Order: sequence, then C-alpha cells, then structure tokens
Amino acid sequence: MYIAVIIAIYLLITAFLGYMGYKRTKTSADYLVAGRQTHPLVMALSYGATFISTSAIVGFGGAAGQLGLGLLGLTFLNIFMGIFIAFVFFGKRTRKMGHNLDAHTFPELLGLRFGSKFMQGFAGVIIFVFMPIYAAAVIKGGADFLQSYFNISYQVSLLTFVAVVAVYVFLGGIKGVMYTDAFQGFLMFVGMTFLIIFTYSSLGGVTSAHQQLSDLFNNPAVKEQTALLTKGGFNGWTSMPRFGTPIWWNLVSTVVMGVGIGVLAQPQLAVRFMMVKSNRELNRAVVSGGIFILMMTGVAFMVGGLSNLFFFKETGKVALAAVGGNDRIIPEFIKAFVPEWFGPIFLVTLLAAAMSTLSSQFHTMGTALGRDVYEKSMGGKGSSMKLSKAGMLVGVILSTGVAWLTTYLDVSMAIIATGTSLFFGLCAASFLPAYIGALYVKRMPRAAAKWGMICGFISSFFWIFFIHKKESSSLQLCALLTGKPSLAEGTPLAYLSMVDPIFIALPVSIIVTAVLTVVLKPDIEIVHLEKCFKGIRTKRAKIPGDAVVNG
Amino acid sequence: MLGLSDPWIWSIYLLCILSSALCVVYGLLNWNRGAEEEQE
Repeated sequence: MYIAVIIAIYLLITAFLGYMGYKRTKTSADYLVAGRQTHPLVMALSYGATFISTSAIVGFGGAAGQLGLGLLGLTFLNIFMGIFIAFVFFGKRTRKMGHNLDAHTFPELLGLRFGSKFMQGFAGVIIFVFMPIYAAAVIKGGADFLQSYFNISYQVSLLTFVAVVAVYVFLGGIKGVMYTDAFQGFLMFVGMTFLIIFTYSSLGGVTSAHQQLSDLFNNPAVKEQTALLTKGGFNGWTSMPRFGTPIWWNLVSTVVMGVGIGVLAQPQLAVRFMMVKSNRELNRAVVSGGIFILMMTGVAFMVGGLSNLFFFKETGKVALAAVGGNDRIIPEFIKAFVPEWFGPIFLVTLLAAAMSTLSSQFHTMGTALGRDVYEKSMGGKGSSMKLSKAGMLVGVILSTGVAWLTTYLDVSMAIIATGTSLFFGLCAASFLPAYIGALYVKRMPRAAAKWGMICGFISSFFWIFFIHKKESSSLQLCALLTGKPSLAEGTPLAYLSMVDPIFIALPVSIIVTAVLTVVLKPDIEIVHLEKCFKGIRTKRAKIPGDAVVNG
Repeated sequence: MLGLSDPWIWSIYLLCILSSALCVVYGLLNWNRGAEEEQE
C-alpha cells in the first residue's frame, strides 16, 4: 500500500509538470528547444537525469558489484567529459551557434553549419534507426520494475510505462520533458544521497569500508567463489583487473571509453545547450551538473562494490553468487539490507531515472524523423511541432516493439543489454569529429565533415555487427552471413573481437575528417561562417585564396 | 590510501571527487559571467 501511495504521488506530480509544459508550449521553438529560456538548474538536472538511466544505476552498479571499483573510471569520465568539457568547451559554442543559425536539433546544427541538408538527414536517420534500441533498453528497465512490484504481466507494465511517458512528451514537448526531468532528477539525487550515507555509515566510515572490501578478496571462501573471474583477470574489488585480460578489456574499453567519450556527441544531450539564454546559465549549470553525476554513477558504483561485504556477511557468498546476476545486485541489496521505508523511495528513484531518459529519447526520435529527415532534408511541408509529434509516435511504436520482442526472443535480451553502449559509440564515431569541426575549425570543408560522418558510421556499424563479439554475437547478422559470431574469430586477429567499436571507428572518422580538411580547399562561404561564429571569440583564421575571417 | 590498496583505484576515486569539485569551482567563479551581451 505504502509503495502504491508513493508511486501515485510521484505520477501525479509528473502529470502536473507535463501539463505545465503543455500549457507553456505555443510555438515550434517552445516544443523543440523550450523557447531557449530554460533556468540553469532545470537545464542541469534535465541534462543529468537524461544522461543517467536506470541501466547506469542498476546495470553498471551491478557490474561494479562484480568487477569492482575500476568502474569509477566511468564516473570520472562522466563528470569530466560529460559535464565539464561538454558544457564549457562544447556547450557554449553550441548554444551560441545554435542561436545564430536558429537550429532546433543537433542534426540541424550540423546541417546548417556546413550548409548540408544531407548531413542533417543522415544524422537524423542514424538517430531514428538506432535510438529505438537504446530506448528499448530503458523501457525494459522501467517495465521490469513495474512488473515485479505490482505483480502484473510484462506486457501490461510495458504499455503502461510507455503510455505515461509518451503522453507527457507528446503534449508537453521539450518543456514537459525538462520540467519532469528536473523533478525526477531531484528525486534521484535524494535517493542516491541517502544510499551512500547509509552504506558508508553501516560499514564504519569511508576508509574502514574500503579496507574491508580490500580484505574480503583475501578470504579463502571468496577466492574460491571468484576463481573463474580471477582466471579472466579479476584482481579484487579494490584493484584494477590484470592488464590485457578479457576482464580488463571489458572494463576499460567497453564501459569506460565506450560510454565515457560517447557522451560528448549525444544528440539528446547536445540539444539542451541550445535551450538556455546565455553562457551565464551554462556556467551556473556546471555546478549542479558536476555534483549530480557524482551522486549518480559514483554512488551506484561504490554501493555496487561495497554490497559484496553485506552479502558475504549475511549469506557467506559474494554479491554475484548470492543473487545470481549482475542486474539483480543493486535491487537485492536494497531489498535485503536498506531500511524498509527506503525501499519504495529508491524504487521511485529508479522509475524517475528510466522516465527521464526515455522522455528525451522519445522527443529526440520525434524531432529526428519529423524535423531533420522529413521537413528539412526531404523538404516535406507542415508545422515542425506536428511533424515532430508524428515522428515521435513512430519512434514510440518502434521502441515499444523492440522492448516487447524481448519477451519472445532470447536473442534480443542481449541486444537490449548492449543497447546503451552501442548507441553511445555509434554517435561518437559518426558525429564527434564533425561536431568538433563545426564548433572549432572554420576552414573545415563540407566534404570533410560529411565523409568523416559517413566513414565513422560505416566503420562503427561494421565493427558492431561483424567484429566486436559482445555485440555481433547477439545481433546475429555475422553468424547468418558467415557462420561465425565474429569475423575475427579463428584468425590470428581474434583479440580484435574484444576491442570496442569506438577504439576503431572514432579514429577512422577523425583521420578521414582531418585528412580531408587539410587536403581540400575550404568551401564554406565567409559570410556564412561569420554568421555561424557571430559572438564567438575565435582566432583570426586565414583561409587560402580568400579574405581573412575574423569571428 | 582511503583503504584502497591499488594506486589506480584510489587515483580514480580521487579524480571523481576532484572533477566534481572542478565543476563547482568553475561554476562559482563564473557565476555571473557570460550574460548574452558579452562574448564567449
């Protein structure tokens, strides 16, 4: 009963905020970029809450329970790259250029900056085709949670969850998303703060907790339970895995680099920079953003690792052995060891994390199909708001379909599990060099940005579907065509099947973009560049054969 | 340090806190800078 009341109150507040968004949305600019007038705290919380999904807390927190505190490398990158570098070096220019060009989406910023409808359309298609897999992962997280706490069928919980989020995004647009995100972000912050205080204080303080976790690995029973992991490179929860082993590669390449760098070119995050009035708002948002992310993934990973002490004391088994699966470590820890009154609050925290990420995914898919692909790239007619709403409906149906399939097909379970890092990696390889060029390299020719994007996408796609075994084996295309889960398998290059796509595809797109930038002549008109960089302080850039550009 | 034996792990632990502190200090120092009439 208590849990039902807590969730009901939460949903009522969310509905009210969605309604506020609806009432305050009059124009397409309101629907797409919140009229560019968002408060810094709302912007920071919305950015953080969108960034951090349930899988970051439960999935990666559980991974820390298994693999140890090395996962904190991801927290560091989340804060340093995802907040500091993103806001200070990308955010300010994105905001200003977005205003100068009147861009309403991330693909539109790239398209307008390089004067290429193709780029806007291509980026829109990548987002629209691949984001549903990422969204399905988030939907599954939310639906699983509702299913287990209300004892309802997966299908009912899935449809309810999707419907609630879809309604407020559909009606309230990005304002509805931002208001609810801020509220959900606040709840996440409260829940995680309690969790870390509880965990450390139960273990006698920070140093004592860490020391106990270090000592735990020396226990003979623990050695026995982790023998298989140790063979793969595991070295205890407070040590890095052995260099070059499968677990080391898994930890460093996929988790840390895959999601850590990928965050810079996330369309649903980058568009938020265009939603504030001035750089002052971004400066202020950095404060709450930095603290927020530390309290999300930092806490989840610490608690995941430290949960081993609780499980071992109670059951004589380490966390993974006690609960039977990575994803169950955090929920079981909450159920078994945290005060009973906190359980429902933490569950609302997780629900909020899922809803805040999903709402932005729906919105971004809608704008990608409606505005970027149909209206701007194909020249379709209609109001951007209506087209985005139509695009969103298609995106909602697609993502729900993928999440629905997970009940029928075993294989899609694995696809879902890799959905987040797949999308992050694909975005980084496809968009990052062009995005950096758009903001910093005035002389970059259109073709350099375009071909960097195309080559980044193709190499990333190829590596995901044909080489990187973790993904290619679950996506099955490689097995279908060649009979092997990865092309590298059985060859002297078999170790390549462990390397994350971002390690290959991002360098490919960087090299293509850089070489073409050097080789080709600049072809973006000076007048256009001046418009793009108006109000952005830049060095004088000499463009051969043309006048001096002064930004 | 901090009960963490591996220098990699405690460095990462400290980096998390320091990067968060960097965000706070940067934001507070620039709290009133960057209003629209100024350049970046």
